[in-house]
Amino acid sequence: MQLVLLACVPGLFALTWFFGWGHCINLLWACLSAAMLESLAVKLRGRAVLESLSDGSALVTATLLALALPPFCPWWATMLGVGFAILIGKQLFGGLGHNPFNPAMLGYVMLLVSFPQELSVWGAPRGHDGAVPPGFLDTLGIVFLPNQFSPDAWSAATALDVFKFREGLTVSELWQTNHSFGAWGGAGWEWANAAFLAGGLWLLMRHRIFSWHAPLGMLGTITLCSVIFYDGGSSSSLGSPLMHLFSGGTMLAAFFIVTDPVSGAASKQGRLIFGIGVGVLTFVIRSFGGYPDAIAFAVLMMNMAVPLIDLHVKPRVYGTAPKRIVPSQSTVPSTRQPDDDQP
Amino acid sequence: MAARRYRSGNQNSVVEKINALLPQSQCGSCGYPGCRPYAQAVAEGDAINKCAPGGEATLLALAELLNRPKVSPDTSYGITQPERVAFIREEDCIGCGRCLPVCPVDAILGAPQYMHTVIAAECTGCDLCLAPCPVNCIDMIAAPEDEPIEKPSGQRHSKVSTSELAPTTPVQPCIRCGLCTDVCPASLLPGQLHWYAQAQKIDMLATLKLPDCIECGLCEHVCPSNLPLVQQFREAKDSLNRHADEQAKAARARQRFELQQARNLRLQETRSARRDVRLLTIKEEMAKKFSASSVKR
Repeated sequence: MQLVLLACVPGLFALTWFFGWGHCINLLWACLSAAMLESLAVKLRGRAVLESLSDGSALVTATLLALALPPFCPWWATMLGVGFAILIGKQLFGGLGHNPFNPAMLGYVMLLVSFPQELSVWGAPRGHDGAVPPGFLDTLGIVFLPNQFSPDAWSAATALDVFKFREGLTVSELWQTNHSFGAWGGAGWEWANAAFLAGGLWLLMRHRIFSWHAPLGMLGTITLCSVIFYDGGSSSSLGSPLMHLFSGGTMLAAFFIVTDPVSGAASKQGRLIFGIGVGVLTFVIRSFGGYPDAIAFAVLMMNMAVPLIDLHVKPRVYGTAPKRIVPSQSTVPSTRQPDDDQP
Repeated sequence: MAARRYRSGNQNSVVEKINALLPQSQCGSCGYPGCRPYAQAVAEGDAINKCAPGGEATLLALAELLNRPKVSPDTSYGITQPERVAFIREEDCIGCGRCLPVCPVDAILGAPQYMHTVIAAECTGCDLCLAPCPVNCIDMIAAPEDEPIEKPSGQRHSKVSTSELAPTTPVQPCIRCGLCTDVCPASLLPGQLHWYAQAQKIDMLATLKLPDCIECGLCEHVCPSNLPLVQQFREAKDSLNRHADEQAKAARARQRFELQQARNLRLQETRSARRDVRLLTIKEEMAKKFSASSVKR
């Protein structure tokens, strides 16, 4: 768990540089709320509080949620999201290891659907047009005293949002006129995604805490889909592969969300299918759905499909012939030899 | 053959059973010269609460064995002390040897004019050596913790030494971390097997090829929740076998039933066919008889 938190640090740096202190403040506030709420839930369930907190899973959930939420998200929304994620997304199902859905994504989706306005206050990235994110005290005010401080001076739509609702501009026109776009993806977002990619690859290759199947499945599928639908950047283009990979929460999800072993599939082949599913659904919702970024919905839908994946995808047991296994059998095999005596 | 002949009593006798429950300190606090005479007396009806070294535990065990009412220990025969052993202070011991013959279990090592010492492992704490010592060099100290498990003489200090055992780790519920799946050498899914074994879903265990588990224990070794996976899988395999046996038995029963049904049907048909034939024959005969009689008239 600590390694996962450490791997988020480069991404956090990038987000803080481009979008201000909002993510840091949200992170600390979310971690605090998570610790409090998890202690409360564990105590109500009659278990040892320190033992349950020491596995760090609540902190990881809070961190991932805080990184997914906009920087100017009010404190009560963050707390509500964390509460929903921890209490209903995890503890209600039985604690660590028993939740069918990814708790961070559950919290995010609940907030997105219930409070769409609060969750669309994204910041303008630090960029060529001279935009600078607000200072520390300003951000504190925006987050904790939302009635007095308004983020309007600094807020802007995300790159994916602008891209989706660009109203007839071609991609190159959009890139030239709008400041939300950087070299190959959203301005600021491309660096954040690159940082999350670096952190994720570090976790994968250096520490091997998850296997490559789920991230490769997701990223590969998104790339493939965007390549198939690539039309050279017309006014109705669905986005280039680089655009999709380096905007929004793609890299964060690929290495930190879909690799969650609890809500993901059990076998390696199953995880690959899970990643592919997330990739397909992300592309479809981004391109044809109502929301600019669709990772959370895609992840939740694939979480629902995981039991089905686990039922049908079983790795070949060492020493057996490679053939398909039908789940429901009329005779149950045993370790004994079949007896030959007839009645 | 002589040893067999002179072996101490019939192994199944009541006296032997009572003696087995006594602490074997041979101290004589109960008034009898040893534990076996006391056992004999108890078998003949003496009170069961005279053994001070045995204490409450022995009392209850005797009451249970002999179906007698549980009485409180008789303190006139001594108070139950915590387990103690004798210890000779070597700087004071003069080597007189008066403690040697008194010890009922021969736990004092020594010879006249040589240093004496108590073999702590054999000492039963009966205090009999304290009185004969002219210089009062024997102390009763608390029995040491680490004592050997095997004791050639009695069963009194049979405390198992636990200092060399590894501390038990508490078992927590599975957190679905997937480490077990990563290490399984047979490419099984131990995590899934664990959940299905817990839920007793026999058909899924078979589908996931539980019998192919080689019980290597790697999954249990890496499990962060200390789940006893190997034990669980062994039990699950047993359930699987039982289930398979039951199914085979049910199939055989069904087969026997169907064969029997077919057989009974055949029998019935044969019988009814035979009956029909016989009926027909009788009818013909009757018809012949009547027609013959009518012709006669």
